[in-house]
Amino acid sequence: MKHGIFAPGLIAILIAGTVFAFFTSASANAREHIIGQANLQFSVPLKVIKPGDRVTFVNNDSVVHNIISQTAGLQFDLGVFEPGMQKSVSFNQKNGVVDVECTVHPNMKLTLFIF
Amino acid sequence: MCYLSRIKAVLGLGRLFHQTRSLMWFFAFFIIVFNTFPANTFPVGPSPTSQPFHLSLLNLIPAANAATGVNGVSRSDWLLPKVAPSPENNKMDKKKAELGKMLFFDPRLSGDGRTSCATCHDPALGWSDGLTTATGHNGIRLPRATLSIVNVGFNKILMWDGRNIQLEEQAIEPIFNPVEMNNTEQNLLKTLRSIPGYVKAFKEAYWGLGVSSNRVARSLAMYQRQVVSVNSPFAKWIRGNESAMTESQKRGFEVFIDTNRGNCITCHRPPNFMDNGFHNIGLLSFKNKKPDLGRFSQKKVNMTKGAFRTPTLWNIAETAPYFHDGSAKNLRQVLNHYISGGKTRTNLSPNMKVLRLKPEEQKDLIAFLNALTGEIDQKLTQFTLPR
Ligand code: HEC
Ligand code: HEC
Ligand SMILES: [Cu+2]
Repeated sequence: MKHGIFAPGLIAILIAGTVFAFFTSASANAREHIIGQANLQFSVPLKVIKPGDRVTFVNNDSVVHNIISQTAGLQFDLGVFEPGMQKSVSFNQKNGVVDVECTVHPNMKLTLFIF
Repeated sequence: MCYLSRIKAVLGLGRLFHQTRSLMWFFAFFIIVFNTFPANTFPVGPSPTSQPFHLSLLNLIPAANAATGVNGVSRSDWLLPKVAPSPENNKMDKKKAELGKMLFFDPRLSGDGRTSCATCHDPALGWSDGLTTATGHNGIRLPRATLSIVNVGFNKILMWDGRNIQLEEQAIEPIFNPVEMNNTEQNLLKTLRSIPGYVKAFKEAYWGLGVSSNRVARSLAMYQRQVVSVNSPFAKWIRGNESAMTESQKRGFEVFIDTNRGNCITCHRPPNFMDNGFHNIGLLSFKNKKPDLGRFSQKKVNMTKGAFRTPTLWNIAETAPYFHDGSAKNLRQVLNHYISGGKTRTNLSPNMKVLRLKPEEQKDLIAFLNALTGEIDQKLTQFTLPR
């Protein structure tokens, strides 16, 4: 991370964005987030969700995965995850950062931020 | 030690995030902004309005099924460079790699001065040892087979159970392992510092700095990144030389990548014929009273019990016997195992299936595996040990 990236203009955008985010989030209900698995990767490396949101994992890969989290208090193990299947996890918990990974392919990693 | 932690820090976003929480929160801050805006606030390519932002991203992921079926795999997927890529903090350098070569072949690195890396990773035996399972210090029988180091530089996770990530981190372990080379750091440094040839070589390679175990590891890693299989019939064929493989070998490749026939591609993926993944392929030894649990030792989850890391298949014809327990004497027995779909069903990988292969298809598949044998640069085995 270079400091140049955090130019004042950008910070202004961030602040504006957060204010915006604050107002929109107040009205938003629990959402579903869809995260794919293809070519031994999650479709996104990180994702922000809100308490109460649901994350649906979809295996659009050609091989079996095993999606787990060993983050304290936020553990789950989605078991054998065949191609074509989808499985959901709801995050009713407090704020937190969840490290999600595949036990078959440890390079498959995803970080969920619960705000 | 500081060096090791630095390697770990640059191992990629994922790991960085797992370690640097504060940076992560900062990112998260940015992303929450992105996530809460309606989909069309920041248009990213064509995105049908009926889909939420993240779904349209999903659609943009190219080649979701690139590795499936006969048609999904292109020859160029298997192309590999002549030397494996090196990390930012250990860039390929001729002098360092030459030093690594001497270290690799030098038995003086071991406690009793009799075992070198090459004792177990013997170039004449496909950079492995030809044994069912390895023989360690004082003739002790080790529980697992020696992995070949051919093309090891392309692997993103090392060892049968994935207990190491980077070659720099792995290289020093066998030297201090009591059942392998049984040396101590103190004794290793004392030995190397007493050999003027080494003192000179370290100085020349490392900007005037002397012997250290850190630099031993860096040089060994660098040397191993050069051990790459080239000019095999298959390597020539993927570069467009149609006659490099026989017709039988070409048919064998089709069987290999066809998920309805060989299904090998499911785990032995391009370009290094492996997936940096862990699978329980149902070997008989998993029926033992106290079986080797493999990956489970590193990651305590049901799925990892009896799962081992997929090995590369480049130069595979040279490294019999096969599997982590050495239970297959030759490639024929390997294939028979896969045809059975796994002999132990407990915790068997769901990616394994009973194969229905015609006798000709079986012959072709084995012929193809033989087409993966290439040459290793001769210079990598020519050395004189320093005095
Ligand atoms: C006593 C025999 C022995 C010696 C000596 C030995 N190794 Fe190994 N090596 C093994 C065995 C056995 C494995 C697999 C062990 C496992 O995964 O549990 C292995 C695995 C490896 C791997 C991982 C390969 C892969 O595909 O993940 C590398 C790299 C390696 N050795 C490098 C070295 C280096 C460098 C040295 C010398 C400093 C060395 N070895 C000395 C037996 C040996
Ligand atoms: C489910 C994933 C998977 C599939 C499918 C698969 N392999 Fe493997 N392969 C592995 C793993 C994992 C190992 C190491 C297993 C062990 O030793 O416990 C391995 C080992 C091997 C070995 C021995 C390598 C060595 O160095 O000892 C060969 C040869 C091999 N496979 C060839 C094939 C062929 C040919 C096919 C298709 C018929 C195939 N594999 C299908 C995962 C797979
Ligand atoms: Cu996976």
